[in-house]
Amino acid sequence: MHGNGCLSALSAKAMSLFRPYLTETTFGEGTVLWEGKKLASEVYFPVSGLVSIVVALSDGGSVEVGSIGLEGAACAGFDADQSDFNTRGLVQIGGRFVRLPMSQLFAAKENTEIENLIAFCRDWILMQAQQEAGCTAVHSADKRFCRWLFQACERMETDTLLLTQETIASVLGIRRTTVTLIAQTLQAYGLIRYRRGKIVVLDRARLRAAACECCNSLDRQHWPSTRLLDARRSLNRKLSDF
Amino acid sequence: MAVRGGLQVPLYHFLLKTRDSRIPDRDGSEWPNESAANDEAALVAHDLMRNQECKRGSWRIEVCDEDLRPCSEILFAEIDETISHLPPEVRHRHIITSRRMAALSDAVLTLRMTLAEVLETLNHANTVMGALGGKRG
Repeated sequence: MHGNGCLSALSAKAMSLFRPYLTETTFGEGTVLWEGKKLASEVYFPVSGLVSIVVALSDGGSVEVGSIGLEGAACAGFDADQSDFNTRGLVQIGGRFVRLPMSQLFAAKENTEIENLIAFCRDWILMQAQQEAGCTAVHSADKRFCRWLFQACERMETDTLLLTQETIASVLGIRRTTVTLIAQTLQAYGLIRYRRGKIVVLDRARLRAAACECCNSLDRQHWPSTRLLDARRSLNRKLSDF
Repeated sequence: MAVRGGLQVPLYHFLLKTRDSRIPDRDGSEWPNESAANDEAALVAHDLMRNQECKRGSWRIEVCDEDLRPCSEILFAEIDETISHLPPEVRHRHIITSRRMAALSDAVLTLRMTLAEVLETLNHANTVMGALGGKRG
């Protein structure tokens, strides 16, 4: 049912707490999963899509402060009674998602793995928001573009991304023409190939080298799915040593 | 030229000129007039220059019409707001230096293109001479 890293990292016992309540849905690009200032009703585990967590601005625009792919889970906030979040959840790349009612997530948090899942996913969103703030303040548009593209490939586990230049422009808060010129430059250097609505990354290693240092700060070791697996392995080691 | 709501909307192309490359916006985009296209070019220049103002002062964006005829050109240093606090003469000197660096980049790129063409011609000549030598031999 799922190809989401977090769900895959859970033990059969922890997963059994969720299984009766999980539903799989397909969301298209641009679907709004939640609006700001509202209590979260569901948590979304991307299976083949990408969710952007954006801050909406008064002029109608928005800027991304984090994104969640197969490595994590997305929702308005990982607190049962917190509705102060000013973010919007937007499907940036359409695909399949597994949904779980928030009430069931919190009902299962006595389980250590579920408690970890909530904590790691919350950490991940906070960590990205902090990094994005620094990145936007000091890094160039082309390096941020490369970073976003590299991270999207890593988190979607694919080199082919179905998204428009308008999407990338809104995510990075830059002009569409700027995206076109940066994409043309990367294409000229053989890093990517793009057509309308489709970007193919030809050389992920060189793309990473062209990206800003934020790639290192937000790499796999910090993903909720990786941390969940590490926590499970660590527990298994302790149990076998016991 | 595209037609929108019975009105003709002109197409403009943007050509990014960096120190070592020319990057065209192949598809172009529609703007009501040249002034609007210039405004877009300035916004794009700000995007590309942001946090790299020192290194990219000599970069330019050329605005071309749909037949790829150049309409105008924006030198990044000229619209760099991070040097607005400097005395006018210092700003002016920075702009002049950036313009000269841009001219030097143009010259180097032209030289590279010429060299590539000469190399291609020589290779072609070698092939032709080889074929002629073979026929005679």
